Amino acid sequence: MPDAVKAGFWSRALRHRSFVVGGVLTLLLLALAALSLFWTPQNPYAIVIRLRLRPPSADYWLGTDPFGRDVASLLMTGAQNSIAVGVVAVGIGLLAGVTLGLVAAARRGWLEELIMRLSDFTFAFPAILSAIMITAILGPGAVNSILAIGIYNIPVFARISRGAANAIWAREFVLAARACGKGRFSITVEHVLPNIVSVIVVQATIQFAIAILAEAALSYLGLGTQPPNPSWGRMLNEAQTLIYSAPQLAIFPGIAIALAVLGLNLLGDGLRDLIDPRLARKR
Amino acid sequence: MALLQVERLNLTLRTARGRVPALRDVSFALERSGTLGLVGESGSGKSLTALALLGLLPEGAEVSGRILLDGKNLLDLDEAGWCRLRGNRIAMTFQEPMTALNPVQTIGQQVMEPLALHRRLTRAAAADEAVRLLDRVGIPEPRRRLSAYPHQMSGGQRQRVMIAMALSCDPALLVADEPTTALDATVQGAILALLKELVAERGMAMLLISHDLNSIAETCRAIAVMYGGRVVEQGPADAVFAQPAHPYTRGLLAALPSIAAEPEAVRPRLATIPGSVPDLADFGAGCTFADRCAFVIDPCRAAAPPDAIVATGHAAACIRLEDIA
Repeated sequence: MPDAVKAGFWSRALRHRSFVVGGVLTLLLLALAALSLFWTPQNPYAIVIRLRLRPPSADYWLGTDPFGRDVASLLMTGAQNSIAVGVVAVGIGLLAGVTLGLVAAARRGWLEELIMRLSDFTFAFPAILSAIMITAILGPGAVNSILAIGIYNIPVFARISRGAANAIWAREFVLAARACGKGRFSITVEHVLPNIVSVIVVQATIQFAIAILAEAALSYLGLGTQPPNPSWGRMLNEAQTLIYSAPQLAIFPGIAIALAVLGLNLLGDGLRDLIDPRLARKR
Repeated sequence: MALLQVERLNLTLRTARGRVPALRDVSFALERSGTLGLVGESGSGKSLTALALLGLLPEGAEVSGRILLDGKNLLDLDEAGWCRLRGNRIAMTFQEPMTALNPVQTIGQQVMEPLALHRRLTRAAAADEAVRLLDRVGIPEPRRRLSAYPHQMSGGQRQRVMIAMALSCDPALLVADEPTTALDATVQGAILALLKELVAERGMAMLLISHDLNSIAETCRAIAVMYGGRVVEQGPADAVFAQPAHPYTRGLLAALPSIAAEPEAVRPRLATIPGSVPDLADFGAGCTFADRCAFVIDPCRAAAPPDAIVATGHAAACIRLEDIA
């Protein structure tokens, strides 16, 4: 992050509405997930058939599911899962995708063609379909679904970083840097990457949200997190047959997913505004 | 031996209309600590010539001829060789300092970059050197300005910063591409004066690229006039300005407005050169200026005119010099 951005970053950040709202929601998600490592209102794995489908109460804040498990505890533990999926899947996509995109922009020629046609190929399949294919090959499960989402993220980041990097390579200051005797590698690291960070960060928060949704979708289809490990997507799946008798079972995980995704998107928007040093002075 | 000798430099570009010659047999020489002004309209090939000197050609460009720096042909260099040369032996400043400076890096980072790269200075030493350079090019409070960003400076200051960057490794040759074009008239003079001072004090050579004859007249000892990718006339600046030989150079000089104290009625209408620069692909085999020239005859279009000597060191590529003198 450039120095000018660091200076007064927090004072500007705290006045940026979508950054604050997104940050609070994201922190809440992180805090609940962290808390669930040590404490949950009830044991999320305890099946007590006698207590099935209870409405919200003092002991069971958000009620219980058809197996008598506490929904609040399941949601908290499920948050761990969502975060792990988001972090790892976006991490894979970022690392591999941004590297490929930067290499494509720096080298041009046949290598760029190869990288971009490969990512077009991956793009030709809808995200969920390619995730289903990958889990079909590797077998269902939390790790494989994360991997599948991560692989799907690679071309997303490769494309966006190549596009942004190409625009930077065409700028005169890159020509000036080359006129100073800088090689392609150091220009990429010192000039191109810092200028596209804001684009990548925003995309990362969006992909994080999409990863959470994708994991929910895969789990909903039974390809993601396997029972008994709680997952927001599987909770939705299990709730659908009871949508009329116990709608809260679908509503609470739905709200959790919506808030997490909304928070990350707002955070991304806020970061984009705050990272750009040209905007730094105006706000 | 001249510091820089460009011999029959030819360059073709790949365009939608196929291969197009952008530079044709460009030849000129620049003495050690000499100053050469390269003048021409946009599209005449002056900026391409400058970029060719640094090996920074657009994709798909094909180049032939020789660029000799201290007798060594630069066109034989590989990318690593170019990287050692750029910013070190040959440095360049650009027309638009706002776009030629990285918006997300501080002035200090950018001025220190070539120092760290070519002179392997430590951070602290590079910072001290950067302060010295910024001070030399007339940036007030240089130490404080190290942490400023380009958008916090004025256009003139940014141009000064670029000059400081270019000077940092004591280049033998400075290529200044339209250093004053993007600046206010009052700042232009100051930047030219600074360049002139620096050339004199450091003994470096300068290739000044401009479409503004006045700035070249003020700054350069020699001048080369380009049109349509060719050097049409070159020689000592005094001689070319006093006795322009090529019809294009004459047209350029006639088109200079002068603030003479003549009454409105007596003052002649400002002369122009009729027509505009044709597309590079439309130039035929003959003289590139033929289509706009008042003295054109058939042989002009048949073959490229050879250089004719006007006086010692003063040549013009025109076959009708004697008829039109």
